[in-house]
Amino acid sequence: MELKIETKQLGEQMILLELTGEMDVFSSPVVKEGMTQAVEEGNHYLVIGMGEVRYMDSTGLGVLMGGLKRAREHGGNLCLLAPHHRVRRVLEITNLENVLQVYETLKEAQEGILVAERQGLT
Amino acid sequence: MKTVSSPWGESGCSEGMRLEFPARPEYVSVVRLALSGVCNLLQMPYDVLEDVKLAVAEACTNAIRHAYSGKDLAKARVSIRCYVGTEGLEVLVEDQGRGFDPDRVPKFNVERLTLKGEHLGVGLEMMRALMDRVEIHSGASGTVVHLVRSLDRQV
Repeated sequence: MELKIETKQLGEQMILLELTGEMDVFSSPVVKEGMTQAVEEGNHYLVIGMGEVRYMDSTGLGVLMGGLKRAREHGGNLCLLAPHHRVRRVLEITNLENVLQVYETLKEAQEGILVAERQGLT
Repeated sequence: MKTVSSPWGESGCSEGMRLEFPARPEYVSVVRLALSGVCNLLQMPYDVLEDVKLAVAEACTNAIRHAYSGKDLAKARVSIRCYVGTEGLEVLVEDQGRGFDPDRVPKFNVERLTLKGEHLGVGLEMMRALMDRVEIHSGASGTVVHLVRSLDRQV
């Protein structure tokens, strides 16, 4: 299934990447490219809209973790916005619930992403 | 154990479903679609169906990523077989690649994932969390990943 990304600038260095589709071994590279481009353009705070992603595998998870790492290397951060419960299930079984920050509303995400503690990343 | 009749008749184990596909990433979604059909025939709840799809897709992804290389890639194929066995839904994911030693796959470690961006072993760990039994038989002529999910277990 095709994976689509829509972007919306939220602030000077903050961007929303709204994903629609399934994140698997075939489609996830699109997200990696999108996040890389966003960071290179100076958007070091990435809010990833996950409400329309009903399926994510370990490749998708790896891409999100890579995006978090890249954002933090630039002094920024990455968080997930309103993930579907199947995506939460993947975070839960891999014990990454406390590493990838999750917010239910855009307002919470915009505030939370700026005050996040660096958990396990340097 | 919940009694569920096999959608393939009384001789379910010998019939079941078999699917063979090129070892390429774009085919993993086809596998998921086929499995959805099978799980629907078994009247599995949505979340159980999704667990099975994810676990089998992880096994397929591992085969596609790691089993073949170089000149083998053009002809490389992966197959899945599934049937209702005595323990529930059983799925075998098979490749004819170079094989690996499952005991030498590093255990998934959050710290390593976050610090170095590595994710080796995550797929295997996920399969074990999602299914009731995961067995890997691997050698020089290929790998078989045997996944079992009870029809009784909920998420």
